[in-house]
Amino acid sequence: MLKKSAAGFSRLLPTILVLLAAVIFLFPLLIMLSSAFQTNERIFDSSRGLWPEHFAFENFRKVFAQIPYWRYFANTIWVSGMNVLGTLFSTPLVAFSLSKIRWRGRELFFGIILSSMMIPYTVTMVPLYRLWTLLHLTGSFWPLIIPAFCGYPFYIVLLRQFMLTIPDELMEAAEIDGAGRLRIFRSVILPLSRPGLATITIFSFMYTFSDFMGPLLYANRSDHYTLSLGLYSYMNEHTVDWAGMMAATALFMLPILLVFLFCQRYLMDGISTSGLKG
Amino acid sequence: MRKREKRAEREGLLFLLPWLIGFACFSLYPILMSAYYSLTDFSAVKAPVFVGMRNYTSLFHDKLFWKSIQNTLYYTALFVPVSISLSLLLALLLKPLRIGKGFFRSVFFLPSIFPAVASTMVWIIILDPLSGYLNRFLKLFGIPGVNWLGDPKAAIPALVLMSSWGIGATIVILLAAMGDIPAELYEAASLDGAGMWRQFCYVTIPGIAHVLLYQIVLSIINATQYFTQVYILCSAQSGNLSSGAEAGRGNSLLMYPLYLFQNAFSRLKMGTASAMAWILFLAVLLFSVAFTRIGGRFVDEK
Repeated sequence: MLKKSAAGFSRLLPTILVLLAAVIFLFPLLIMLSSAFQTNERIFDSSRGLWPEHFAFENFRKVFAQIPYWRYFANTIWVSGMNVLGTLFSTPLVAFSLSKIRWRGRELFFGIILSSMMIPYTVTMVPLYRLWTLLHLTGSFWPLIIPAFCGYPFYIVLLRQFMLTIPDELMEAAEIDGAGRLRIFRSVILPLSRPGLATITIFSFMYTFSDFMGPLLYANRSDHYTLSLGLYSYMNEHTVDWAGMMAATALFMLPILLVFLFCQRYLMDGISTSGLKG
Repeated sequence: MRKREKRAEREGLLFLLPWLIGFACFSLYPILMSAYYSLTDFSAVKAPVFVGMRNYTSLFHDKLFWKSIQNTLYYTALFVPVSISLSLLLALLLKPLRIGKGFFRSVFFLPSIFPAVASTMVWIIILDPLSGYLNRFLKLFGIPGVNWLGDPKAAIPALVLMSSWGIGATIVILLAAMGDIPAELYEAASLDGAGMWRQFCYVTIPGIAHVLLYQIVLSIINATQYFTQVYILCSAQSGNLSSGAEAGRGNSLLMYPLYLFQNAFSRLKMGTASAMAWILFLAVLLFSVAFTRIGGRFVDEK
């Protein structure tokens, strides 16, 4: 009897630990939401509970009054949207070359792309800044947008991995029908890559949406702020208004949470493939 | 046949062209230029003037440079083992779960997509020495509060705590790698009388070794690039990050990329910043090659 209940416990133990960990992982999110509705006096009160005594909706009103939220939102959407567009233009072309055309040098270039993922941004930061300065493009969105039209290694690797799973026979059939390479790309490979394209769309959107370093360097005029930079400057200007800041943070997080809720399958698949190719 | 190969080569390169241009402009050119800039004195507005090795020699006499290396090494040495073993543990716990596996996987993954600005703000509230939830939680067990971000000794462990919250991607990857291990291997092992621990050592670990190795390399490289969070924390503590302000008490939050950034954009010593960039680049390069060589041999032998 004793042995049986011990066995039952050891079977339950993983579940209990997972539950505990889940609570810990969700906790900061709860704090963000709870603090967004607290008043400023209560936020650093050591006796406060998670549940606000009265919901301070004025925090949100304050955010909209103090920062041009919609302006920042529009900037962020513009940069993210253009990044998605650029990624969808360049990535399939490159991934197609690396997965569906048999040519000398393909493995070499794939190796270079893989290792270029490991180049620290700190190494390229200063020369790139100078490059954009010489082109008179600092203080505009272009330094944040143009590189996407050349394709980022991470997305290329992801999509190549996906395209490799498309059987070559489909291509060969089209080839026998006399279709050229571009035609095969457009009417056979692209339509079949849709789930892969969805994955890189979501990654590229999420990454650009939350990027801080890029906007910090290039979109540094207040009318160019993205949401992450706007939130940062809000912190610098209203150092004491933590409730307002949490409300602003919650508003910033909302689109990310929505994408997560509706597209998490693609996110998980993408993350898994990216790690497994190692 | 020859002609066909030639054509394939031409077309392959043509489709590769966008990346090729991007690689030349946004990777190769900056890497080479940063080597050149590291030998010059210049700022964004001023043209570079050649000064030889002066940036390097002055860096070697710069206390803050060594401090930033020390901080980064400490952070890396703490973060990598903690994050990898925690991810491994959580993946192992999730794997046998029958109900709610997908749900919990999502819960663990969610924090990793939090924008750095947002999560740092939330953690400032959690880590507050007086009213922060962490210290209030520790108090329940009679543990005295810690001034997490203010105390030079606690600052880096606090950063590790913050980053460990975002290990979701690693968990998802390890879980996927574990799922790829054939079930027959486990059946054979248990027929041979191997218990949970031995199955873990002789089936699970070898089965995910290559993925694990890659995750370790990646997490070490990422740890040396840790920037946004400390940048925001420092701004929150001392207002705007002007060149004179300390990065955390006693510069305890001065990570290598942060010091590089300050050199480049606050002090406008872009030559010095480029020298730092090249030192880091060589270090990362040497490390990745050495680690994959050594680790690769270990993985293959298995």
